[in-house]
Amino acid sequence: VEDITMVLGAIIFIIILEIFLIRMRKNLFLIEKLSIWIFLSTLNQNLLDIAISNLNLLEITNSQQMFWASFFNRFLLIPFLIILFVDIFFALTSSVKKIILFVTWIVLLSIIDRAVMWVGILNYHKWETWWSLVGWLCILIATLGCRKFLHYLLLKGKVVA
Amino acid sequence: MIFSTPVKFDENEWFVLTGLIIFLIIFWRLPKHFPPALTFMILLFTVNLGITADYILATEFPFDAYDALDTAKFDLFDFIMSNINYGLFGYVFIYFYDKWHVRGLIRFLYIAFWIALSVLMEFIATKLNVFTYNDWNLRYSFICYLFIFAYYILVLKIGKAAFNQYKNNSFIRER
Repeated sequence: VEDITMVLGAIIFIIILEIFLIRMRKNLFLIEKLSIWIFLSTLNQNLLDIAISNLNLLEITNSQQMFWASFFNRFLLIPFLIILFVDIFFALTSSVKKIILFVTWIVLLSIIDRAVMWVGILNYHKWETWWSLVGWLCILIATLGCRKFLHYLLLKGKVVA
Repeated sequence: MIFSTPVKFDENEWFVLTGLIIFLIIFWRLPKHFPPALTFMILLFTVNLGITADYILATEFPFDAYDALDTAKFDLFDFIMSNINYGLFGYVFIYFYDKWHVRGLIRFLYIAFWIALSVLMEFIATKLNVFTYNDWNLRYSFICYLFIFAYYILVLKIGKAAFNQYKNNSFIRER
């Protein structure tokens, strides 16, 4: 019953998030949203594999619910939040506002990291809070780089699909 | 070390390396068919599916269905296999599917051919200790590949729709 509740909760959450993303200002095209989403999911997956298997910094809790919660967190929640960040970022014209947005999102994502630890989705062995801050800063910069690269490819592409 | 090194550089590492070289040559030599952005998106999706499937099926919890390469750690060859080989393999499937306009009955034959090819490659990979099955066999792989190739076709359709949406609207939102 708990598993079903969790899956239903996750589905409802995703639907709400999707509606939010569809309804929000459309500064990004679908191809950009999809590419950024999958880029982030892949990046997160690789980083988590390294942190868990090679560096022993984290450990996934041995529970079905926590495993899937961790999966949804990295596969859906975090990428969607960062897509929202990119969407807002390119709509802003002032550098100060962009910096404020950066700081807000880094703090928000770091709070989610803490929440993930607090709820017990992941067990942190030797994790420091500032690693989250630096990590998210790098991931946000990488995402903006990915979007720039994709934009370059879109402008370069002349072949009809 | 961010990536652990293989315990011993033997047949499984050679298999991954050979696959990498072959797929890179194929990718390099294939005439341009998709727009660059669509190629990029397709590669991201095919890489991601491989990584996600490995993560769900091969991690110690909950399934631990199989192990890849020498250790449970994420070594450099794990990275190459999941981030490059899987992606390029999927891309080649999608490339010829679209280039040859595979439709109707041919579609089933085309998918059946790729499933057979994938199962054969996986069989060779298990013989060369690239994969060690714990709670897995090739029958499960057969079913998985069916979904994987169906997913690739879906990715192609969504990718082309997304690219066309960009193409038709980009002039409105000049940046």
